[in-house]
Amino acid sequence: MSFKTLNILFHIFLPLLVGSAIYLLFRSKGIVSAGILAWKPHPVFIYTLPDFLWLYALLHSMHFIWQVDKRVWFWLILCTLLSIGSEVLQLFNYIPGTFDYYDIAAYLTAFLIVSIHILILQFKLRQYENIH
Amino acid sequence: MKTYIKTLLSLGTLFAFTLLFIASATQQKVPIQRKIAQFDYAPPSEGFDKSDKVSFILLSPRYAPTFQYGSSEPYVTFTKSMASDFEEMLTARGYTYKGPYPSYDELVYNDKKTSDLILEVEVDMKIMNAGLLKSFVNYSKRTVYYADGEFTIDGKLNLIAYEPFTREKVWTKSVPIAPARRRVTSENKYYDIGSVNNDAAVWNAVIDALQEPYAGTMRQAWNHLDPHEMEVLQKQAGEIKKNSGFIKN
Repeated sequence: MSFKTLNILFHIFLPLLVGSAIYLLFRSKGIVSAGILAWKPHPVFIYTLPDFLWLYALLHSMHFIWQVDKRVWFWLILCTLLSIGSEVLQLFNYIPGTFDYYDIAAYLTAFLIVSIHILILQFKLRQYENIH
Repeated sequence: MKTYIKTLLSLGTLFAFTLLFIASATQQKVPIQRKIAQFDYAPPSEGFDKSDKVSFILLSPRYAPTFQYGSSEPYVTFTKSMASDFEEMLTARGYTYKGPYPSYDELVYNDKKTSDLILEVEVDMKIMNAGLLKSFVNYSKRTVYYADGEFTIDGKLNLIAYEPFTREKVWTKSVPIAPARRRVTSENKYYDIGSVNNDAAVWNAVIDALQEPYAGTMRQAWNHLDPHEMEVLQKQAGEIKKNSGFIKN
């Protein structure tokens, strides 16, 4: 398996899978609500972590498409702003859902992690170009 | 990869993720249907002894003073249903009765004079719900309450028979209310702690827990209203009444 495939699996598919699993297992009709599992995780784990993982996967998808092209920042910022915007719309009940500061913190954290990752790659690329 | 292909791919990915976000956010929860508080016991239609010799004054079933939810639903309906079922049981047994009266203070002289016994029903109910109510402080620093855990309802029904004038106790029976245990997670979260009790999921669980032992408890109460025993009590109450000086003949 190539490094690129591993990257896609680890940074895109795995977060998507884990986020979806948390959503399906622990939200309204999940096995916890049905009383099958006695253990119930902290609400942040159930409600905020999936949002973080999904945005993380989306931002990495953008990174995968644009690589270290500077235009990747436009897409990263656009995706993050749309996510935060959706949360703000929930606050004013324009779309269904519950506004939560934790979600916004999760979006910003995802943006920060992916940004740092890309910045490091861009820095390494510049170093490589300077050497060669 | 050309720029326009990257842009198209980005738009496509963004669209796909938007769908994922929308699907997760707009999944409407089906609201839980609140159950109707109904408690009913039908006495047997045959195969038991009857007596038309004993007359009762029935006091409305009341909760023991230690029970804090007695004035709220569905507990009010619980005792109202119980009052109706005691009426049915007394009628089925052949007894005559007056009431149900809300309290002893409502009785007038003639009621006491023309009745042999007062039947009082005290519901000594206990709700064990330690750890059921949960809370957390949300982003706006307000405490949010919800229910998540188990509770058990049990207790006993105290049946008490008095002589009407002197309130001399002639008979007491204790009927256990079989423990009913339920696990519940409230449908919603609330800023007001009292609203958790009215949450549909909590309400339904309480209704279930109250309904489960109801018929069994009432069946035992029915057995205790045996005419042979009641006729003995009638004689004892008559003696008390006579000796008390209220009624000489």
